[in-house]
Amino acid sequence: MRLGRLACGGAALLALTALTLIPARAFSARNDIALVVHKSNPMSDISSAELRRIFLGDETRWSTNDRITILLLPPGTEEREMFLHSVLKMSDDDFVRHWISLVFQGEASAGPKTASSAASMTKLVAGLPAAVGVLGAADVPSGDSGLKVLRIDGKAPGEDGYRLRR
Amino acid sequence: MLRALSVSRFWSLFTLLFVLIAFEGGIALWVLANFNRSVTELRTMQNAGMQIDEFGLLLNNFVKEMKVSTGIAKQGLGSVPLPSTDALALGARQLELLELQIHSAPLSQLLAGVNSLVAAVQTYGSDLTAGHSDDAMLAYIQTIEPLANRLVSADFPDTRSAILAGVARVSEANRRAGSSARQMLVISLLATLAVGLFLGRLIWAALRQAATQERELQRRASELAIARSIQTSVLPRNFSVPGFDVGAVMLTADEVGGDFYEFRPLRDGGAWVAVGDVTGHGLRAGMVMLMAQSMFALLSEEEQGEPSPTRLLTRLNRSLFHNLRDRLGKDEFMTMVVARLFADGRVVYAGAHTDLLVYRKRDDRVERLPTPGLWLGLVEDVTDATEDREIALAAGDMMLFHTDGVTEARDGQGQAFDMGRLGDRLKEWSGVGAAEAVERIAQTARDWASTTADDISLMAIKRR
Repeated sequence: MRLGRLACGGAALLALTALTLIPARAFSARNDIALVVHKSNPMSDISSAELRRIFLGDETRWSTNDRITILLLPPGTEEREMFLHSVLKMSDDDFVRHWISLVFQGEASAGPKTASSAASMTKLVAGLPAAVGVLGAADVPSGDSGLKVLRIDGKAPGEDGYRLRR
Repeated sequence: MLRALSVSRFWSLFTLLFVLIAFEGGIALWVLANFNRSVTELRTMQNAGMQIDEFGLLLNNFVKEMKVSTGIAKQGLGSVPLPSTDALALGARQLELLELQIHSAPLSQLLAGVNSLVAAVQTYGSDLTAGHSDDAMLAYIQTIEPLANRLVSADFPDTRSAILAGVARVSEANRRAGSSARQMLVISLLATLAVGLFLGRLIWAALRQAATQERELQRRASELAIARSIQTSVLPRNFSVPGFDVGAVMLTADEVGGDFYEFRPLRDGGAWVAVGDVTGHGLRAGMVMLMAQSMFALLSEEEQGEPSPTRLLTRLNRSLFHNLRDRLGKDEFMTMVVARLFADGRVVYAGAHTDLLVYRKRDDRVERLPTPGLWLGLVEDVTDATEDREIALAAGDMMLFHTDGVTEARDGQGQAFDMGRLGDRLKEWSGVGAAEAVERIAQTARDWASTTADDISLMAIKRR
């Protein structure tokens, strides 16, 4: 009985140790959507509420006072539609109308930008210190690509409870 | 009346009036020039205000169109063409012309930014065409959109504020200038009114003075006419006396000169003659002459026994002296020579007057006879200073009495007619009758004189 308990505890410890040591790419993040920023951005974790305020134009600057540049994949892509639905509870049309309204009313100086592809997205975010982009976690290049994946509500892509998951 | 105004005063007033009019004209031109300049400047600034508002609308529309077109693009940003910058570039060129007029630093900065924006958008288009979509997108995010935002949110509002401030400044300057111009105009008009009143008073005073002078001239002219009437009306007209040819003439001066001559024929074939000249001119001289004439007429009638010019003169002087000094309080006096003609050709004379001239036919020469004595009216008794002198006139001889108006007649160079010329003229006209001789001599003297400042009187007695 005691041995059985020890065996169970050891297995759990081994599993936890293995989970901690495995890199982000190694998690089952294939269906997750990642939020990437420039590697110089001091932020590493963001709340869902903050994320919502940024993508609705209520928050326009980072803590460094740099103006936030929002980058999304083209309309119709799964990552974009899933992100808008999951975070903003909006369809793509509603999202576009919302931002056109903000721009026309002068409440936003710049709207979200559309990257033509994941590759383009990674290149742009790596080149724009104040950018934040949405793309599939599987499309995030490994190694020092100049990007940083943000945790959302303390969870990284692939982790249990990560909310941007297809 | 205007002649009474002195020429210098007239020209002074005229010059002052001209200066005033010129001053007023200068102010009017200055105000007009400033008004035109300020209106032009205000119009320029107002036009600038309208142009910058139109341009702002253009810029704002471009930026919004650009943002919307990039925001709703289905494709990636790097493949979305941006709106045309043609209208923006054209508006910028028009504003550059405006900037040359108003020289606004914020406007210059705005135009520089717009030109950069236009260039960046064109570069974006070139990258798009070349397939460098990521470069185009980076350029858009890093350059075009921030620049557009800066233009809309900072440069344009700054420019508009500066131009509106300029409009306000020019309006205020115009208001102040207009106020200053109005004040200057009011002051100028008040000054003109004051000077006009002063001028009016001056002119009124001048006219009154002129009127007074004219009245004085009229009074003096009237006085002169009276005096001349007195002087000439009492002159003798009958010069008939046996054995003598007598003629006399008096050319009166502009003002009565106080000359006097008298001729009173007697029943014994002789006559009394008197020629004199009162000092001074005018009515007073005429009155003294009239007194002397009256006294001479009376005394010559009363003269009894052996005729004596000295005795007659002594009595005449005493009466004249008392009349002048005691009653009239005057200090006039007169020269007078009195002569008694006798039928046998003798002439006894006495008195103090200009020298007598006698043409002697036998010798064909002119004698000059002094008349020593005292002027009448100076002292009460002239008996001791007066003496009778006698000459005889032969047939053809001519004796000439004259007053100083003849010998002191001066030509334009100031040269007197003098005794020498008088003697020459006497000799020249000795062959004619006495009346013609004195007429000719008097006219010669008057022609010699440049002015008619004194009477010219002559009496000639020619022995037949």
